[in-house]
Amino acid sequence: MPSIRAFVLAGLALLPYVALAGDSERGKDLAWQYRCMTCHGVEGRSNDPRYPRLAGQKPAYIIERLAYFQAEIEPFNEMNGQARPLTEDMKRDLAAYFSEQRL
Amino acid sequence: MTPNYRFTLVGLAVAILTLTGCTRGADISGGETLAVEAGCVACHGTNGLGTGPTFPNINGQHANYLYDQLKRYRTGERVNVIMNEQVKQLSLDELDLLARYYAAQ
Repeated sequence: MPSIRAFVLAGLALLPYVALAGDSERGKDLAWQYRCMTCHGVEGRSNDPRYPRLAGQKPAYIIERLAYFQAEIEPFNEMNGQARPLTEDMKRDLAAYFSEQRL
Repeated sequence: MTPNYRFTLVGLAVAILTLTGCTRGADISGGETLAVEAGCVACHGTNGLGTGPTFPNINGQHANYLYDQLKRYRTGERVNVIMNEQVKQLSLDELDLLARYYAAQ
């Protein structure tokens, strides 16, 4: 039954992506809890030209940026302190939430 | 010259200066050509949509933010293997044009 085998293999191949996708509902709560909205605007549509809009941004890019801030590569970046308390799960949830908002 | 007339003239001058300022700031002609020539489009497209999962969407982003980040890539303050190389060949005026071009997409 090659078709069933192909189906199962495809399912297994997609598993990590499904498991890695963040929870946008949790992400929304985190965005309020960690005050992301103060600079990035409600639903990630910042009105302040100093701060990037996050609505509709790619989740992998958001996760990468948060990890970059956690590594403190730019010593005086105000995001370093913001990103410090975030776990891997929290970063994924926040990325899911902001990426799902409309720009 | 009556005071009323003087008022009108000053008002007109202010209006013209404001409008000129606005159109100059919004002028993004040449932005697309530069985006193609500088190679931005390989990762960000001409519409600002990232072509890979870690290539950010930059359409509709604040021009001010984009310009600031491009300058940080140029000084090396923001570290990214691809972007640090990309901005080396570009002047500040060119970075400003690219920022305003993608912000307007």
